[in-house]
Amino acid sequence: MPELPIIDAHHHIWRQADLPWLMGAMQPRIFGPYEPLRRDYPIA
Amino acid sequence: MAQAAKLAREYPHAAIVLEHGGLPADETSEGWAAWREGMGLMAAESNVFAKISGLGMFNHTCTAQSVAPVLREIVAMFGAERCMFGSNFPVDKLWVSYADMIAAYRHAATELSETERRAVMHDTAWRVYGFETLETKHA
Repeated sequence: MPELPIIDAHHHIWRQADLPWLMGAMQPRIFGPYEPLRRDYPIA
Repeated sequence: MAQAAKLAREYPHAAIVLEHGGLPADETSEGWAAWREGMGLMAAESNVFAKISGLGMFNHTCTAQSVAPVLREIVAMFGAERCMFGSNFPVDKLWVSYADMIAAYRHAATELSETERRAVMHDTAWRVYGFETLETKHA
């Protein structure tokens, strides 16, 4: 089967400093512990 | 969901994109029934599109086996031409690598026709977000 082209229609690009929930103490979240997310995710 | 469907009905020319497959968080039979009912209301409005993304936020898993049943139901309700894949990265990287997620979706999508697969993985997002228009503008 040929590889299908993909558009990833839902992803996040952020600066940690803009997001209070990534700056403060870890809080219980539906997705569990999220230490790896506590950084910038720039576009490139 | 009923309120969102009503909103969609009141603004028929606005494209509304429902996130994360309508958040099927409650995996009890009652939970699935409530999800189906709500998704049915949304699917009845032709200006509502469904993102199939973030499905592992509750059970912290993403495999072909976990994706396929939800993908199948959403595509059956909305039609593939109103469905689009999204990774929800980096959040979902907490339990799956990007490569493994793509492999899971590719495998789960093998039960769809090629046209449906292309719609879910590419064509719907291309159309809904107007990428063609953007390409033309910058040509």
